[in-house]
Amino acid sequence: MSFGPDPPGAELPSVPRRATLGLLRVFPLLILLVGVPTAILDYLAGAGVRSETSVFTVSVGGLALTALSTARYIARPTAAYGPVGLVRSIVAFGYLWLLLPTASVLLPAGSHVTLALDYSSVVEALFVIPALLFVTAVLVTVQDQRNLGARLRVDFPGRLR
Amino acid sequence: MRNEREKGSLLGVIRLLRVTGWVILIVLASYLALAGYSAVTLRPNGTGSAEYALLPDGTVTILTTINLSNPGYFAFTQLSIASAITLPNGTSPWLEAVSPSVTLPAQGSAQVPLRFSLTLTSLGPAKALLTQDEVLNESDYLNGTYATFVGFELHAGERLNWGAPFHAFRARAGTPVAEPNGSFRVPVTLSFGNDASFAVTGALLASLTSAGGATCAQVNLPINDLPHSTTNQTLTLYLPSGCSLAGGSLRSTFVAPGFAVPLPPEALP
Repeated sequence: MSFGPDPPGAELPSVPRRATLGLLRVFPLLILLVGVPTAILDYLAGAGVRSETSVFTVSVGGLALTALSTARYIARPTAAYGPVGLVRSIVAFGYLWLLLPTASVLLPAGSHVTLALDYSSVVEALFVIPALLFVTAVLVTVQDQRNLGARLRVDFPGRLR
Repeated sequence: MRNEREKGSLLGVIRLLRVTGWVILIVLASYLALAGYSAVTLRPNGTGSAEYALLPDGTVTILTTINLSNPGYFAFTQLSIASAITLPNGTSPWLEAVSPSVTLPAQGSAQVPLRFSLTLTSLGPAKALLTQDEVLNESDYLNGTYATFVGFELHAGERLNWGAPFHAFRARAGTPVAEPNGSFRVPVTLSFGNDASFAVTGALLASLTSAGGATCAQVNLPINDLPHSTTNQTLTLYLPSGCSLAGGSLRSTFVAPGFAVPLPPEALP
């Protein structure tokens, strides 16, 4: 992963700078992808709502996506950006695939009343996100093989020298 | 300059896809957040009424109309109610009804009709319900989709009080009294209460039969019993001299213009 000198018209951030910013992004990502889902599951369990989605699945899936998103961010000025994005989209797809069969909750609503909610359609709708990420990552990989510098000039525009 | 560079290259498509992804994510998240908020604040109201009717062919229909209101921001679609009634001994399901699918619009209301049909002439294991009040088990399932994406099933179990149309039916034959012409006069008492929620209109046919099953005498008692009324009538039957009741029975049948329902017989000494 040697980048050499910046391509003309691009101003690439240094590796330490990208690593630092990447690590700073970890915290909001962890909150969004791990903290919020596990807090929701804990809250539901406390309220007597039975969910088939496990905290373990949500935690591992959230951690994997956070790690891959961070790696993708750090690799953005390199040709590894597209492949890492591909892996991330595939992991996101697999994560949603794991969530799909467990996308239901059972709520006790009274002594003789139960309410079952099935939100698998919500999960199915979310599949559009990894699908778009996948297509984007494929296009980025192709673009970088053709002309990495062109993308870097768009993603990291520098002052004209 | 930059736009010109992107034009015609993959970079423009990539940029478009990124923007599209963010837009979809934001729209989806906003929609789900609003739907979630609406669902949490939702307090749907449901009231119902039931109409009982005894049709000329001996079918009892129970038409339940459930009124639902939705104060939320999103519609309930493909909303239907399925209901099953089981007997106290667990015979399941005895009666079933499924409503048509309806849409409960946002901040609107809808009526869901539910019709049970019960044929008195073929009650099968539920025959005792003609003469016995029972507490039946009713399971109701409300299915539908909320805010396009969330399917739900509400299951409610409740007790249903069944009032028998011939509650505690009893036909008793008194001691035969000899008549001067050689026949016998037999007093027969028929008693029951109409605990059902529908009127029972027709006639009770009481027959004295010999041990061999031959009808020795019979009498008709016209009845027009409103719900929650009682009948206690003593009738007189005249038995021809050659007909012996030893080992026979007193058989009763409810007869309406379109159907007949046998009631429990009474053995004679």
